[in-house]
Amino acid sequence: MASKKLFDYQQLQTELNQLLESLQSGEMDIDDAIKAYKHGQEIIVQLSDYLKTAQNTVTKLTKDFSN
Amino acid sequence: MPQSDAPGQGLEVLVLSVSEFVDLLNQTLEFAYPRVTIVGELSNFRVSKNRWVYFELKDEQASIKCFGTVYMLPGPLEDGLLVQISGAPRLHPAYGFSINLQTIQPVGEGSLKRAASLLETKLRAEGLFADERKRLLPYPPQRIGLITSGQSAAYADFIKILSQRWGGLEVMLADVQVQGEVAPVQIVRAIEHLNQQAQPPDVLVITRGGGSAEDLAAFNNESVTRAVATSRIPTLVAIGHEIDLSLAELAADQRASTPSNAAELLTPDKRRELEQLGGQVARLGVVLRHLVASEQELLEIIYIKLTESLHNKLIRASQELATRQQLLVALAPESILQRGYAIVRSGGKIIRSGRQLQDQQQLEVQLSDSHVTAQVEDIRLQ
Repeated sequence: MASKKLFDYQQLQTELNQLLESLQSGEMDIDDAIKAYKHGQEIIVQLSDYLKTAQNTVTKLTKDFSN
Repeated sequence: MPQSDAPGQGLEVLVLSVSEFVDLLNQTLEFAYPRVTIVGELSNFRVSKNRWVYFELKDEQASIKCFGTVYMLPGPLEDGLLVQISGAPRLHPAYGFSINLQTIQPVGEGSLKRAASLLETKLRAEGLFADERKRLLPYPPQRIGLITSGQSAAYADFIKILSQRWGGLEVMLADVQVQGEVAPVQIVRAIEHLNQQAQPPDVLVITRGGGSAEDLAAFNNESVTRAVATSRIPTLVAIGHEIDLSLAELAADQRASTPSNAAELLTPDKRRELEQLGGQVARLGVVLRHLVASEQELLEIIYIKLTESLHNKLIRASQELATRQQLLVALAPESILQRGYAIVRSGGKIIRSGRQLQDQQQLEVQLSDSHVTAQVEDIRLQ
């Protein structure tokens, strides 16, 4: 099994929610808010692309379980 | 040593010792019937030293002895159960004929249910089905260990629904038989194998479609049930039936009613997720617009305050200027002359003291509206 890093949808979704909460708290200055907004948009694009394009892979284990 | 005898008509008769006969019979049995499968009713079932199993298998007319170990048992058994056994027939030199057991399974719905009930009682007492043992499954998992038959409709359904709902998942398929004699061993090995992977899956899904009580017997097997319960990886067992839960389902961290339902429980629906993302885009925009509006409002307030402050400073400066201007005007020589004062000069120089003067000296006197020439006549110093 390859040890590639899998796309962590949940982590990005959590990051997006935290970012929205920080923005809504009103404690962020406008420069940071604009940066957060842009970052939020980037995350949403990544998540949407993932949902639209990601395919599942099935690997059949080579082990023979009858032996 | 076999010996021949020739009674009467010259036919040779093989004479054997008892041990030789037993050996010969066993050789014959091994050659002719290396493995037999028999169905019968369990009778005189007993376990010795927690290891050896003895019972008789019988029907209306006959009864045979059977011998095996507890490791071959599918779970607790009791007299009266209808079972199917497989094993090797042997004639023991001391204890007589028996079947050396290889497998034993209850058969028939009644026996299967009774055996499952006995096992359930035993395992429940051990706490295998306790709620506090249940773990939450990752949602969605990234790697799924799927234990099922790769040729089954259950497999196809699970993969299809999984793909419809979510993407980017890795499914590690352990292709096993899910019914029949070998199913329990294969399922247990698959569970162990997946648990031993260097990068183990996040969840194990053990699934098959519906079937008869005999088809589903592997999921009421003690080894399978224990393997599900002791898996370090959280387990989801989905057997396609609605009545009577199997013991493997009871032992699993979560159960699903069908293979498709298992895929649904493991993953969010990506269509709904996309809708929610659309909502988050809108929310992000609203929040930023709100922030910008607040910032603009703040800037306007600052501008107003700045303007007010500047205006006030200008007024104050203007008032100050007017005051100074008035003072300046008041202090101007012309104003002083208008009040009745005069400037006295002599030879173009301003005379500030009588000591600068002499009698008869010519003076120029400047009044507010004219210049007068005068002469000093008397000097009185003060």
